[in-house]
Amino acid sequence: MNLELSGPHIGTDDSIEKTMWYVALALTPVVIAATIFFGFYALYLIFSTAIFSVILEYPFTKKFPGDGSAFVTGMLIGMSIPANSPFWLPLVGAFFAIIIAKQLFGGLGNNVFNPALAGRAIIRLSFAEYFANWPAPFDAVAGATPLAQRASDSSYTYLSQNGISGLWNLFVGNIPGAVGETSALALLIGAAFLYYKGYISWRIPGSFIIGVIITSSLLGVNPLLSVFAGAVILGAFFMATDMVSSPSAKEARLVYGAGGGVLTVLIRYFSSYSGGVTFAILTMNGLAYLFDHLFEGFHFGQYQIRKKNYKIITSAVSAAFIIIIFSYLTFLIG
Amino acid sequence: MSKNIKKFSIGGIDLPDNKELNTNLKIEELPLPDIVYLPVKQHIGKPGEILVEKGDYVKRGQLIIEAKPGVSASLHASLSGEIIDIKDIPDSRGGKSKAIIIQRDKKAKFNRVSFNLKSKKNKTAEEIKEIIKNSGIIGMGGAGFPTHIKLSPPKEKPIDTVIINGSESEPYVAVDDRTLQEKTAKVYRGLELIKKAVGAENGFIACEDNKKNAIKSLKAEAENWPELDFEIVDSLYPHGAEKKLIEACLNREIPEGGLPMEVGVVVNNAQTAVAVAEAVDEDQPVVDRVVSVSGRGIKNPKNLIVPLGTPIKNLLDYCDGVISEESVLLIGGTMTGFKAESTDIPITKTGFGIIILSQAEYKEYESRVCIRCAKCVDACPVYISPNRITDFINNDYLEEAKALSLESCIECGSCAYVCPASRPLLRWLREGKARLRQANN
Repeated sequence: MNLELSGPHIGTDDSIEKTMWYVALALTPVVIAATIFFGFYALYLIFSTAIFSVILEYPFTKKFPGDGSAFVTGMLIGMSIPANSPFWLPLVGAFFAIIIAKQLFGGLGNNVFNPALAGRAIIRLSFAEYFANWPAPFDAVAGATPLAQRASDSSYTYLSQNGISGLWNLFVGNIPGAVGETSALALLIGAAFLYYKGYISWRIPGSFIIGVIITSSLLGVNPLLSVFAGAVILGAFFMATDMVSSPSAKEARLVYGAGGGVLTVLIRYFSSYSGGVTFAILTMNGLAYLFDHLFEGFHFGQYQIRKKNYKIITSAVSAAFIIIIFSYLTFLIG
Repeated sequence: MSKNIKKFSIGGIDLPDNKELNTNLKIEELPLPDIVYLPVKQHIGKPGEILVEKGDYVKRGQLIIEAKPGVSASLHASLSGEIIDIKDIPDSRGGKSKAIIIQRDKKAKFNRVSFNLKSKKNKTAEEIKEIIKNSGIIGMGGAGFPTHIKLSPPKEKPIDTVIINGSESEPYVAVDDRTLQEKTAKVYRGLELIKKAVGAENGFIACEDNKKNAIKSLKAEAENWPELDFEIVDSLYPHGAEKKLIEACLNREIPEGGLPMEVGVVVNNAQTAVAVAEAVDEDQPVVDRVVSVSGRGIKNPKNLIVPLGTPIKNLLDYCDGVISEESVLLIGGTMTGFKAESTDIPITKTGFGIIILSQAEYKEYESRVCIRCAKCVDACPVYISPNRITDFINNDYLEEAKALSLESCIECGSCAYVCPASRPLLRWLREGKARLRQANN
């Protein structure tokens, strides 16, 4: 038997390039929204980072414009910084993302951490002063994002001050925040396009959002605020779904997403950094291989084991749920 | 009355089925070849015992290889003539295998039709199985499992349902499709006989919903067979794989490493059913089979009935040849088949298709880095993780690959089909399985 002659002899016209450029295309609505809200400087931030990333990668891949992954990474970094950042800030981020987080790990496919998030985390921590004041859309008056203070303090004030129209502004993106993070509407349009094209599945974003909603409800933070303020939508649909740094087994993807969502809210609530999504997803990136191993799931023909395990899991989860509800109620009454 | 379309729930891929090329072409007889190459082993299991020698004169339908006890199958001469040699020839999987070569006696009368029409009608289950064994019938859908073994499950595993698999999910191929259209009564008769042989209560023919004409014929013929039925399954690939077919039709899951009999089911291909009907009612052993010659690279696609052992160049010539020298010649289907390096490779009992792909359609593998997009995991019909398993195989961690159910792989090729990094996942999986088998022996 000569396996070199074995098939399948036909294939989809899908490729790594196509996948990556489709992601870039899906970010177009976000680019448009960012330009409307924050002016043409936002356009500079996004595309200069993207192009700079492609140039940085050239010595490693010897291909121009490359497979598109560097371009997407750059776009995402440009989108995750304030609109009044100095012109060099995203470029520094691109350097750390492409060189340190990606190529030193072996390039596309071998990086453990999402390059865009790693780059963002480094500039976020190194140049913290630029992340304190976030310009509001349309005018240049800088202010706090709805999440700049600890989530527990800010949530009720933002919504009580702004009411239903505040929620609408939150959804459309008319709030202070990072260039590409504010408009949930634009992000969701892009995500819907990717879902339609089959480049993202519902597993990671879905469980991520559910994780955020449940955890914020338990902590007494308005779940809508948690989801639409800050980077949750961008993170859930474009960062956590980064193929290379996320697990591939079906159940592992659910755990990974849910873990990211829970951790996001916990970081926002308990730590002094508002950038919960970045650190939550980076932590989960580190766990991706472990999750693939632990939550491999059942294969065809293992229905006996499956039945038994589902019983155990169901009873454990329902027990945990009852305990949580019960303690939460006692906490409220007490 | 319209039927519900049955479907399995997880995995599978939408393939462009390209059936329009061959679905409306009547099965034609191929002019007799001058030489046939009959590989000694065309089935899964042990090779049989060769009864002839170089220089012997054989008649069409004469037993030349007898099944040994256990998993083994007989073989009959497909032409009358002299055995000019018994030697190794290139086989359809890129290797070499021993074959009996017969040169046609041009004066001999060629018996295309049945050999004996006088056989008695009502046969017992044991008699039917004996006839199937003696007629050299094996699974003709591609797997090649000897049918008499399949129909003799141990007593503690009773069979309640027989399925005739007419849901050919390979693109281009229209063998089962045409068989269901042209030999509908024989397929039903074969099902009735197999049902009787295993003592099952239910029996039905499963056909994919993209074969409208075949379904029409099945519906019309069903009235004559009140105890038998047919089911329509979705055309998602691979509904033709027996594990997934049973899941779709009966909602039963075959345990890991098990055969369909574990869940009380026997699945036979439509061609096999016809062979059973012909063997029992007409005393005709398997000497011919239907082959689809199809693809965008052949001038005139055709469905042909050919004597076993015919070299594929005879089929290509009869279809007026390939359009361009660049075309890629495949034996079997586009998903599970192998590329043919020579046109001397013969048609065997399991060779259902000759596909000629244009260079543009043919997928060249590049083995780029895995971006862990998990498309293969989502496409896998047996829910394994092709990306991780192949990583283990390529790094010699066979035990880990086994723990991830490498042996459950049904080699459908869905993973490699969807891979955006064009990694040859199926080749690696096949290699891993072969090495596991070696390690076990």
